[in-house]
Amino acid sequence: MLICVGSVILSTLITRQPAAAQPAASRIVYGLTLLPSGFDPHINASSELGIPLRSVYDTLVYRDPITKDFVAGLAERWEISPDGLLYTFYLRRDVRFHDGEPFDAYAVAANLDRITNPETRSQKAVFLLGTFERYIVTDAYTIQLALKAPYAPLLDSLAQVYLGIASPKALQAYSSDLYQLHQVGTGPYQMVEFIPGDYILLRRNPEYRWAPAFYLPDNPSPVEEIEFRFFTDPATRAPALESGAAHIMGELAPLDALALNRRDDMTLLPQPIPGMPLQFLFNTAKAPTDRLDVRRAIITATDRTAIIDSVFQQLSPVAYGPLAAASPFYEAQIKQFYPYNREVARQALSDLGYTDNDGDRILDLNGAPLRLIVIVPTWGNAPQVAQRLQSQWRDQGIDAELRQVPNLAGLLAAVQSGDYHLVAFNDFGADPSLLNTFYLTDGRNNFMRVSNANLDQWLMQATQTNDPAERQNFYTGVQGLIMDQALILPIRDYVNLNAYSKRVGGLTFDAYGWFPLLANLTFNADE
Amino acid sequence: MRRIGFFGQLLGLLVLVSLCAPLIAPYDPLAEVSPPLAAPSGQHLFGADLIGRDVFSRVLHGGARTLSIALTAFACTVLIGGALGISAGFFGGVLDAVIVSLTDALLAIPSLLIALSLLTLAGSGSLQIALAAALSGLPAYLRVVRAAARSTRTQPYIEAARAVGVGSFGLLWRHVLPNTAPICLSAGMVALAWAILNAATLHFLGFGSDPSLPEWGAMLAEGRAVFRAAPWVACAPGVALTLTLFAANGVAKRLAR
Repeated sequence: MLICVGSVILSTLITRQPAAAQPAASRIVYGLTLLPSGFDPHINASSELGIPLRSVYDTLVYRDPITKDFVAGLAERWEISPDGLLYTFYLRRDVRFHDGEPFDAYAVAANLDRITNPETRSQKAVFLLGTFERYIVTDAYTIQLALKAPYAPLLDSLAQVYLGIASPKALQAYSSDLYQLHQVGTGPYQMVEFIPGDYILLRRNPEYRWAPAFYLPDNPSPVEEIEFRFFTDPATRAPALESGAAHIMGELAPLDALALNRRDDMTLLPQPIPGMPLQFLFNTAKAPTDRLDVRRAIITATDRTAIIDSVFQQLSPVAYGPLAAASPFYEAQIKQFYPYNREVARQALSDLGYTDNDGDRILDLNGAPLRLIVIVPTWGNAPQVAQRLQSQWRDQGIDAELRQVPNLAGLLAAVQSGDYHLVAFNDFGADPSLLNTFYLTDGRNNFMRVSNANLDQWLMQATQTNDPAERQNFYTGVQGLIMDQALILPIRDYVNLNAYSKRVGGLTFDAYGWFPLLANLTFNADE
Repeated sequence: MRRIGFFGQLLGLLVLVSLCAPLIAPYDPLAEVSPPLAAPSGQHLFGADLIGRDVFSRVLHGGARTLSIALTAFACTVLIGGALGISAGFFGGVLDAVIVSLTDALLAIPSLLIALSLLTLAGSGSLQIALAAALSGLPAYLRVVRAAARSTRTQPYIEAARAVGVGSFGLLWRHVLPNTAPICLSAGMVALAWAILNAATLHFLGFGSDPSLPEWGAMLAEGRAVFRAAPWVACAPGVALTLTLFAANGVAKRLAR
């Protein structure tokens, strides 16, 4: 008898879930669409990690999601020395990490130490710091960042989740590999559990009192727990929303997004992403795209609106230049370049000497057909876009050979070979300094093999001045020059197609477009 | 006709239709001939894809492409795997130990991983895919052929032939090869089915160089993205692929009997 009673008590104790493990009443599932190699924002570079972690960490400054202006974060205010070499941050005194540790200048210093330590092998955060040289802790709540050379994008970098401030105690407790499983920040949500490849569970931080201005001050029905699950196959995303397996999902296929939008229980939220549009970069070192007039004729021969209509179901705007319209310093006058006109394109090619001499419906010059090799990655709808380009160009006597590459390594290897005329690529970010790696003569992503003294000078000067008006002037010039020289064929501004069920409301994104403001989400218990 | 059975006839028909694609297909498989994602109709039997191309024409041309890649892979597997397998099984000794060790090492790695590794080194393209599919099917085929040759070499008639002075190569050519042929052929048909599947898988994953060229695996990948709005884009190549694999496996079974 005693044994039986003992067994019952023991089994009850073993099988009973602890109170903390019970799912909260207001728990939702947020679908992630990519499985990055790691989730440590100081180490890894994927945009996907920021979707949950943007709300785990606060940053020294924030960008306002609407105006894109810099607003206070963990730093109440900041000063920049006239020579642009010293940034002084005055920190909030009322902030605590999720583990109860106080936030102060020493915590910021510990984070900078970790990011800049070569052993951390940071893939993005350390590069965001630009010309950062050292920090000076002047008191417990004031820290200065000294730069080797002026670096205007620094504030933008400090506003990104990759430079989120983590608890020094947690950083010390776990090795570089293990910290990603036990992340501790100061944000509105804290990490409860992370099972790699399976899910990430965040729980609302009830002590959060230091929110930036754009967070709802009194969210009447916040979501208590958010479970992030992976839906890497695009075909599974819409069904997951419809079945209730997920309540929010991004990166939907355009046709699925339209189908969801027709449902009463779903809301579609197309979110423009600042940065570079989906574009094809011309190789200016290989004939025939080494000729400016050929590049101009190819852009003029491209009906981008038709591509947007079919591939993107009109859910993305046509791109006209090297920066998306949602980017700071975007220049709207860029739209005047190269309107679609097949007669003008044909005449331009004819003026250059291209005619169909052998009757194969492909133009040729001195016996060489007008044939373009196009490198096409598998992501971002590039294959569909490339096939439409191929079809449009073929009608106009331009032959295109598409070479698909399955991953980034394959794309970089193909570019390295130099045997291509166009390559599809894009990048994301709010600060236009992201153009530097592509358009500077020695830029590591100079796929165009361009070397232009004006471009080099304006890009560098725009990176070094903190005056917004001056930066606008430089970037207006840069955008105009890139299109005047027809270095790229822009296709579409990137738009992330998100949809969410009626169970949640208030879905908004930060200034970088990818990262949701989870603290503003509301939970609708009635749905 | 009775000897090859229903599956043989089906496979023959599929191959014939694919070979005659340029004559049968109503449209250029690369041309935009319809509004995007048009539903199946009298004009477009299997509908149109996202680019507005005729899916029926693309399935026919895709068959020729898929089967030619798979047959290249199959030929490599059968020739290399057959030669090595029979040699290892018949001669035994050090040669057998070396070949078996190598195939054991390859069998320890998932076949798709072997194929992906080769493509990472050699780059994308149809020939590379054929070689990758051949390499991934090679170890299993080699082991089957080796086992058949090994069991044949201990047969009394082999001993008898050896006793009357027939040389090793004579034994191989006149006795071992004819007696292992049914197993080699049956395993070869299974290898063909795997080659078709592996080639389609690699195209599905984006390793086929030009995405505009019709190929069943690549068409499946395209169709998946629009499956809910236009299921015919994926269904047509999917059914064609399934039927071909079904027929190849059916032929393999018949040969094994």
